[in-house]
Amino acid sequence: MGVIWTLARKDLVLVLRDRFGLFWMIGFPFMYAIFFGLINGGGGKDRPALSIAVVDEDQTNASRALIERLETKKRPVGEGESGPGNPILNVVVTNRDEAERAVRKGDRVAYVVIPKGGGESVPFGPAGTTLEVGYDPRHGAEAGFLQGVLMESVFAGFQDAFADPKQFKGQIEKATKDIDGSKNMPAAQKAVLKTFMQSLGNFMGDIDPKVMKSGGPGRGGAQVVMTAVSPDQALPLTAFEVTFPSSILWGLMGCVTTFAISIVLERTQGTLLRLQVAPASWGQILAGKGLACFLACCGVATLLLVVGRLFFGVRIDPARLPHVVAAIGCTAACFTGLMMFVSTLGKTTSGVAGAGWGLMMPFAMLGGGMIPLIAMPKWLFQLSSISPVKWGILSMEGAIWREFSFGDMLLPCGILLAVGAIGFTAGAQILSLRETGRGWLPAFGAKVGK
Amino acid sequence: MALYDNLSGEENVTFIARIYGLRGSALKQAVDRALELVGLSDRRTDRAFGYSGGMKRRLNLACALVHDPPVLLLDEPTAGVDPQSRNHLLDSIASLARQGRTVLYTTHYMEEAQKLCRRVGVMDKGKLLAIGTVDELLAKYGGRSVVEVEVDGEPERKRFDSDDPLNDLTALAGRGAKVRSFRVDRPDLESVFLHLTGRRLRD
Repeated sequence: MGVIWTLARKDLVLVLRDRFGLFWMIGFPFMYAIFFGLINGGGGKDRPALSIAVVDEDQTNASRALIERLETKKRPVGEGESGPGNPILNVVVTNRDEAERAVRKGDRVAYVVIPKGGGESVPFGPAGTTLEVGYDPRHGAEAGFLQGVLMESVFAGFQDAFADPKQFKGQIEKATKDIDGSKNMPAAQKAVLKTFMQSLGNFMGDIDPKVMKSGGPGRGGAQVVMTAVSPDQALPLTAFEVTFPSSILWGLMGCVTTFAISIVLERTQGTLLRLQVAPASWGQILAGKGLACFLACCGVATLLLVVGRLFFGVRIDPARLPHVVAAIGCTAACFTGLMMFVSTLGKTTSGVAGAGWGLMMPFAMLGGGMIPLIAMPKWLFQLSSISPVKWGILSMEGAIWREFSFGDMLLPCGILLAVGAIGFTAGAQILSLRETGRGWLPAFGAKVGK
Repeated sequence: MALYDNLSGEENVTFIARIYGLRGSALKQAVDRALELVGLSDRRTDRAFGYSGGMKRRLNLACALVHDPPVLLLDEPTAGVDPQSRNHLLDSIASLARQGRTVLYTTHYMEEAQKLCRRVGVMDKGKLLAIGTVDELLAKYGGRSVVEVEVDGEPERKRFDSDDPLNDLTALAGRGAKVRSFRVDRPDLESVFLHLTGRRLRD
């Protein structure tokens, strides 16, 4: 193990000092993840409004006013920013079934139901209005934010009513008529309520609208009941949860090419010959290369995920760390095997570099490196199964946001390990035949030279 | 040269030493000793790609020496090397030989073989044509010495072949010639090599 580790460590140091190789392993994947994440609305101050559905079961002017307030609610303008803030909510008015379906499908973060009679009663109901909010539990923070926005909008309506006594008196008169016309209400109850309405009307006559506008007794009894709505399928929270797994695969493809070139370099610059006279067997040399590539792949994937987690909101749930580790390990093993095979595709560094990218690019194009798996039409998603890149991305996404169980992880991880084993065996066999004149297994314990 | 250009001189030597199983203080001492021997201690932390051709040759030698091998195979170690590095390399190799190591040294520079080697073999087209000490080879294949003499009263320098230059010069003086200066060109390994392999150009 000492010799293998010595060989691997040397390769890792060399890779860290190879700026060109590092760009393809780390620089380009970062650029890819951030660029495509941002143009797909990843986050930041310009992130899109919170998509919600509103179910207006009340169908009154008051409920419509509440909806309008929600639609026009603006994000506060930050320091150093100019102009009006962006809308906070992207509101679509629909029926309850559609609203619930939209949340389950992940098209909307939440829906708000204004119940019948709710719009009118918002400003002065003694116990307030009960607004129902159904939300995707993965968007708990956004749902909490929405709750705050709703309360604020309700109070704003309450405040507006007090600030316009004329309109408010009209509502009182309408309410008094409704009480009079009610057939189910006992006469005594009607008398009490009418007395209350009369007192309220007199009170509104005495009030100074300016005081109310500036934030007077805006206390109401509006309530918001939050209900979690389980989504039909796991979906990414942000575009970065799609672009970072893809970028990891780009990084691993960079590792493949870099390490495959390093094998050719060892041969052309004579260091492989030097190892020939050193006490290192052919098997140890191959294992050293493989270990270095595997560790580099793991390092690249971990670095990208950590940055994604810290700065771009990619979810790494501690409870799912074993899934993440399994995904990284299996993908790294797959690409280590591919590296060994790619190193046999040419005899010069330029030949191997060209052949390496020539093999990897179709894998990437087909496997989700360019078109996200989640956006693929069904036929393309099925066709992409021939690319190991697809299984790598799927395992990463499965660990991060697809909520794969260990059973679900078995398929992508198994395929990745199988591809890695085939690639490593084929590559090692060809290299062994070239360098030792013997196949891989017979040469495993042998010296390098023929 | 079998070196990793992006590793420093010290890292190159340390890597080879580790492959040979050296660890801890033994590793450090061996690396220090090898770099000292080839005169690269002061440039040990510089990356090899910044070394001159001569320095790379010396680093290559340090890598070969670090595990203290009893036998050293050196294949044209001074090819394309500046005179200072060449001189340092030859001194280092001579020092190793004096310490008791067996050095098998291949070269096209005959003066190096003549200076360094106790036994010299002449190989051509894969065949060993002759082997022996330098003196043995010179005596057997070197041919005669060439003597050049300047004598008073004679306008041109005299030039003749001789098996025994000292005896011939003494005889010349005995005949009354007033010798003002003389030069003896003894045969060297180059003439031995050309004698054995011919003067015709090779492809």
